[in-house]
Amino acid sequence: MKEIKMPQMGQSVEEATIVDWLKKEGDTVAVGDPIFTIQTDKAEIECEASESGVLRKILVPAGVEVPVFTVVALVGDAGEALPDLAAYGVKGGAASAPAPAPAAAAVEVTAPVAAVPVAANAPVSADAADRVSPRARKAAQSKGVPLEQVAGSGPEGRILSEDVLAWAGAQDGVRSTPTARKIARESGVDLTQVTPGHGGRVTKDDVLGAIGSTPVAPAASGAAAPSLVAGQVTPLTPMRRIIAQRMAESKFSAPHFYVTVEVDMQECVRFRNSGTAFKPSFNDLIMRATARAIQDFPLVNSRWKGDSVETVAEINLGFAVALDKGLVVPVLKRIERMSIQDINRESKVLIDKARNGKLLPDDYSGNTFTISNLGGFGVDHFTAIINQPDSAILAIGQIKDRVVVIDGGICVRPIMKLTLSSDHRVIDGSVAAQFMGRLKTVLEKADF
Amino acid sequence: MTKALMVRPDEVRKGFTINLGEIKVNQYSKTLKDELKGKGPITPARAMRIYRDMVIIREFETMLDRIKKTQVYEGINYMHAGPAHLSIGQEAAAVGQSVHLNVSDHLFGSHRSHGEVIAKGLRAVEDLQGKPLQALMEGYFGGEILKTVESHEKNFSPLKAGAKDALKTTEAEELGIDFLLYGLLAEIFGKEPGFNKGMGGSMHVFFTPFGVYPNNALVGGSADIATGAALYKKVRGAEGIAIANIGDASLGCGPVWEAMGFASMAQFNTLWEDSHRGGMPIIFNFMNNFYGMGGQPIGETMGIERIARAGSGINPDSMHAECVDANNPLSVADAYARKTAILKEGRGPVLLELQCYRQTGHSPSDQSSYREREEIDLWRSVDPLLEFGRQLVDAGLATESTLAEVQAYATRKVSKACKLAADETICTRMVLTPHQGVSQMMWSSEIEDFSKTQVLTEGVLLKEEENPRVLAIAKKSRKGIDENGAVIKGNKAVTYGEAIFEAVLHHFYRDPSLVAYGEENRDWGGAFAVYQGLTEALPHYRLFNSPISEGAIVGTAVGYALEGGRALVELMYCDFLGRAGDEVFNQMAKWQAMSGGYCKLPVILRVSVGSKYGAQHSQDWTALCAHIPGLKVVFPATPYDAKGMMATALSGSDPVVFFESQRLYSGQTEVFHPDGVPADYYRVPIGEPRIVKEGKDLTILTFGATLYRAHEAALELESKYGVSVELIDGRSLVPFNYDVLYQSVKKTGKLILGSDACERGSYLHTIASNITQMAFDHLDAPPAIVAAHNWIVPPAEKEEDFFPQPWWFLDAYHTQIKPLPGYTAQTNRTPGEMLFLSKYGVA
Repeated sequence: MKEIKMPQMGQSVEEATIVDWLKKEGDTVAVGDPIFTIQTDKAEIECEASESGVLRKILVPAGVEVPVFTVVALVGDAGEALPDLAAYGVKGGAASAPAPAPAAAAVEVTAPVAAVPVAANAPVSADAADRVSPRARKAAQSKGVPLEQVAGSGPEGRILSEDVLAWAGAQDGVRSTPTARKIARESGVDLTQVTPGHGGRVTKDDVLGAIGSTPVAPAASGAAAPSLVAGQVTPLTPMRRIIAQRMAESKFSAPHFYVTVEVDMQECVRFRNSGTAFKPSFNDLIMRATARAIQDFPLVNSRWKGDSVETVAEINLGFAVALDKGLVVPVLKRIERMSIQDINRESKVLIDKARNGKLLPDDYSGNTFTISNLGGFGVDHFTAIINQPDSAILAIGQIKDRVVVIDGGICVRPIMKLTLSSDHRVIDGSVAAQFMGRLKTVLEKADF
Repeated sequence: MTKALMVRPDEVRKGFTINLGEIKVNQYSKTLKDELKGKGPITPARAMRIYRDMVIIREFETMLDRIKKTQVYEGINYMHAGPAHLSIGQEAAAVGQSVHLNVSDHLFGSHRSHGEVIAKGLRAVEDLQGKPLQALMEGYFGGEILKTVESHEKNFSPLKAGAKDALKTTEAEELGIDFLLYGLLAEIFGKEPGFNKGMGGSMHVFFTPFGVYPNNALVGGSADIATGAALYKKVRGAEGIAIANIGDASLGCGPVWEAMGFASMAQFNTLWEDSHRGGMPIIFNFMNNFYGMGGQPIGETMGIERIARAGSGINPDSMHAECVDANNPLSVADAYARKTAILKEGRGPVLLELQCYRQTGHSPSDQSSYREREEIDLWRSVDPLLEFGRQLVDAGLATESTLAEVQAYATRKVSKACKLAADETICTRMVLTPHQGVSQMMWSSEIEDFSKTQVLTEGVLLKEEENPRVLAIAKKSRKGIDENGAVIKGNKAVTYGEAIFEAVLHHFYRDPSLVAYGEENRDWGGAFAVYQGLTEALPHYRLFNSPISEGAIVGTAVGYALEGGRALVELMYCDFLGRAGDEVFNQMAKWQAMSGGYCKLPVILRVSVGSKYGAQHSQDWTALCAHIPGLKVVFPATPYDAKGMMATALSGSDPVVFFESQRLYSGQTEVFHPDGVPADYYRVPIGEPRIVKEGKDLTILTFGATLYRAHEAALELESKYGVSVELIDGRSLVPFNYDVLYQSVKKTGKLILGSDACERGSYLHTIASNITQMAFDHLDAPPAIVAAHNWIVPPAEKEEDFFPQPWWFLDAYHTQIKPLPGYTAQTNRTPGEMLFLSKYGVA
C-alpha cells in the first residue's frame, strides 16, 4: 500500500485544508493525475497524485486541516488488504470533526488526528516541532527518523539529538526483521507497540497485522461539487472565507481614499504595435509603468506597521486574477528589475498556474503593491479594496475611444481611467496625486 | 621594605631644609673656532660631518614634506598615505646628540624621530664602515636593502668638501648611507624592504644594528622602555647607555615620571651588590620644541619654566639636569660629553633638556593656528643650518660654495632613496593574509630548553637544593589526593603558589638573563608569597622591589627584553592592569610584529585575579588581554599546570600575560592530575586545553579557578541527574587549540562555558561564537555562558551573588540546554530575562 501525503506547497506553509477530493475511493489514479485540491492561507491549489494504483482509502476528508506531510490517502492494488488504519489515526465509530461537506451530500467522516505520532513519546505540537537542535536534525537525517514523531526534551520542547536517538533506539531495541523495520518506519508504526509473532521477533506480517487490526471507518463517498441554485444557502468555501476576511479587514482598518486620472493611451497603442519580436499586452505596459512610477514615489510601496511605516525596497507587484470560485493575486517579484518581455513572460506563467490551481504560496505572497484590471469586463471605472499589507491598489478600467479636446481641437483618443485606492494612514492625497501624475506621464509618453 | 634600611623616628623627625641645588640653563658659550683650538673631539672633519648630517636630515624631511603636500619631489611622484611628523629646525639637537654616541649606545625615540635615526645612523655607518657594516647589511633580512642600493645609481663619487677636504667619504660609507636612507624611507612608506618590513612606519621605524631602538608613537612611551634597556646594561654589564628621546609635552605623562623614578631608585646605591652598585646608565633627553601638538607645556599646560626643573623632584642630584641650547650642535655635543661621563661614573640617571624649535607643523596638515608667523620667522633667522654654516665659514673650514656642494650632495642622496622607495616594482608592500606576512610575525615562538642547562654559580646566593623553601616543600606530598581519595590540604601538599615558585626557581638557577621585579617582590616574597625563598637565593640585581609604578614595571620589562634579556614582572592584582594599559596593550603586545619579526620579546607578566577584595581588587580581565593581538594569555588553574606553564613561559621568546588566582595560591593542591605535581622540571605547552574529566553528555569548559566550581557542578549533575560531564580546563586563552573542544562538543552536543570574568565581552563569547561556527550541526543547544554579572564586584560576603557558583551551571543546563527533572533553577537565565536586562545595561 502506498501513501499519498499532504504536500508542502511553499516554504512557509505548515498546514493545509483539502477542499475537494477529485477522485473517490475505488478510482484508478496515475502519477500526475489531479487527485485533490487544497486551500492554504491564500490560494487553492490542485495536487497531483504521487503514486499510481487504485485509490483505496481516503484518510483525510475534505474540509479538515492537517499538517503538511500527513498521509491523506492510500493507493494500492484493487485486491490488496488495507493496513491497520489506526496507524494513521483513523478511529472507528462516529465522526467527531466538523464536516463542511456540501449540503447535497452529507457524509459521515472520521476525524483524522493530524500527524499523530504512534510512538510511545508524547505527541508534540506543530510549534514545538520547529524547535529542533541542529544536532537532532542531523541525527534524524542520518537515522531516517521522522522528527514530527519525536517529542523534545529540551527547553520549550526543543528536540535534542538524544530524543531522536531514543526514538530510533526504542525502535531498534525491538527484535525485528529489516523488512518489518522498513515498513514500520514508513507507516509510522511504533514497533514497540507491535506484538511479535513466532520466536519473539517482529516480522513484516506482524507489522502489517498491526496496521490492519484497527477498525476502518466507513468510507466517505459521493461528494459532488456544489452547484448554485437560487435560494440555496451555500457554505463558505475556504477561499471564500479567506477573501471575506481579508477584504473586510482591509476596508475596516485602512481609511481608503481614491484618486482617478484619465490616461491617453495612444502612445501605448503605437508602442504595442511597433514591436516585431513580440507584442506586449496593455497589462504588461501598465505594470511596467507602475513600477517606474513607484520608483519615483516609493512611499506608495509601503507597509503600515502600527507604530511605523516600512517603505519596502523591492517592488513586488500583485495582480488580481479572477477565477470561477473567487480570485487570487499572484505576485511578480522585483518587477523593477524586469524588462517588458520579462513581465509578459512571468505574468503569463503565473496566470496559467492560477487558472490551473497550481500557484504555490511563494507565488502569491510578498506583494507590496497590487493592480486590478476589470477593463476586460467592460468596466470604465471602479475603486478597489487595498490588498494588505500593501498601502495602495490601482484599479484599471477599459480603454475606450473618446472624444477629447487637444490644443483646442477635437480628437478621438483611446482613453483609460485609472483609480488609486490609498491607505491614508500612509499616503496623503498629494503623494497619491503626484504618483498618478507620474504614472499618467509614463504611459502617455510610452516612456518605459 | 627591607631590614637593611631602618626607618628611625629621631632621623625622620629632625628639622632641616632641603636644598634643591642649581639647574644650569644655556651655559655653553664657545664658538667653533674655540672648539677647534682645543684638543677636544671637535676636529675640522667632525665639524664638516656635523654640517653634512644636518643638511641630509633637512633634505630628507623636506623631501617628505613635499611628497606629503604635493606628491612630487625632484620629479619623483609618490603618494604617501601615512603620517610624517617632521623635525625641520631641530637638526642640531639630533646631530649634536650623536656626536659622542657609539653603536652600543641605544636610542629610543618618539613619533618625530627621523632626524635622530639619521644622525645616529650616519654616526654608526661612519664607525662600522668596513667588514662589520658590510656583514650587517648583508645579513639584514637577506641583504635585500643592500642589493637594491648597490644595483641602482652606483656612480660612486666621494664627497670631498671643506678646507683640505676635511669631509672625505669612502665607497663603503656612501653605500652605508644609501642603505640607511633607503631602509628608512622604505619603512616610512610602509614597504617590505623597509627596516621593519613596513610594519613600523614613520612613527616607529628603528634599526637596532645601528643602536636605533623603537621609536614610539605614544607620547613619552620610550621613557620606561629605555629605562628597561638601561636596566639590562646595568644588570648584565652590557656596554653603552640608553637614551630616551621624548618631547617636552611628555613631561605631562605619568609613565615618564614613573620611568624617571624607577631609574633613580636609591637601592642601586644602597642595597645592590658591589658588582652592580651605581646609578642607571640612562639619559632622559627631552627634545623641547616648546609645543605638544599645539599646546605649550611651558607657560600654558604645565607650571614649570624649564623642563630641566623636573630633575629636582626625582633625586638629590636633580638627575644632573641641564637645559641646553640645541639650536647649536656644539652645545649639545658638549653636554653629551659631560653627561655620558657622569653615567660612566655610575652616577646616573641624567635629565637633559635640548631646546630647539620645530619650524614645520606637527604634521603636514597642521595650519599653525596656535602660533604667530613672526615667531616662526624669528626662529628661521637663527636656523641651525644657517648659523652653523656661518661658523664653518668663519672658522675657515668652508666657503659658501662648499656649503652649496654639501646641499647638492644631500639632494642627490635623498633623491636616490626616494626614487627607489617610490618605485612600486622595486619597493613593494608585504602581502597580508592569514597565512602570509605580518600574521606570521605575531610570535617568535622559540623555546629554549632549560631542562638540562648547567646550574649557575654566579648570580645566586646559595645552592638551589639548600633553599629553605625547597626544603620545606620537600616534606609535603606532591599529590593533592591521598590513597583514600581524600583531598590533602595546602599545609600538607604542594600548592599552586609553590608550584609556580618551583618553576621560577629552576629558571633563576639556569637563565642568567632572568630578572624578576614588581611590587613587594623581595623580602615580602610577593604579596601572595609566591616568591618566598627567592630573597635568600638571589642578589638584588636579579630580584628587587620596584616602585608602585605599574606602567614602568611593564615598560622596563619590554626594554629589558628588547635588549636580549628575559624579564618576569608582576602587577600584583589584575585590576592594576589599567595602570599599565599602554605598556601592556601598545608596547609589550606590539614590538615583535612591529619589528617585522626581527625582535623577540620574552616578557612574562604575572597578574593575580583577586577575591574578596571588592570592586577594584577582584576582577578577571583576561578578555581585555585576549582582545589585543600580540599577547599570549594563559590562566592555569591547577598546580601541575601552573608550574609547567610558567616553565614554558620562561623558556619562550614571546610576551605572556600569566593570570593566576588568589583563590588557589595557598590552599589549592593538585587534585586533577593523578600523579600530582612532579618534583622534576617539566613544561606544559601553552595553547592546549586539557580534559580534566571525560564524559559523554555535556561539555563544560572553564578558564581559571572557576574550574573547581564547575567540577562540583559536574559531580552533582552526574550523581543526581545522570548527566555525564566532560570537564575541560581551557588553561590558555591565546593561543587556544579549538580541536580539543571541537571533538568534545562533537561527542556531547552540549556546551557550557564558565569563567569569573564579567559576562559582557567575555572571552567565553568568542569561544561560543567560534565553536558554533565550527560545530553548528553537532550542537543540541546554543553554548551557555556562565560568567560573573555585569556589575561591580560586591563585598566578600556577597560574592556568591556575583561570581559563578556550582548551581549556576545546573541552572544553565536546566534552563538553556535540557530541563532537569525535579530541578528548580535559582537564577533566571531565560532569553526573556536577557532581553529585559539588556535595556538597563546589565545584560
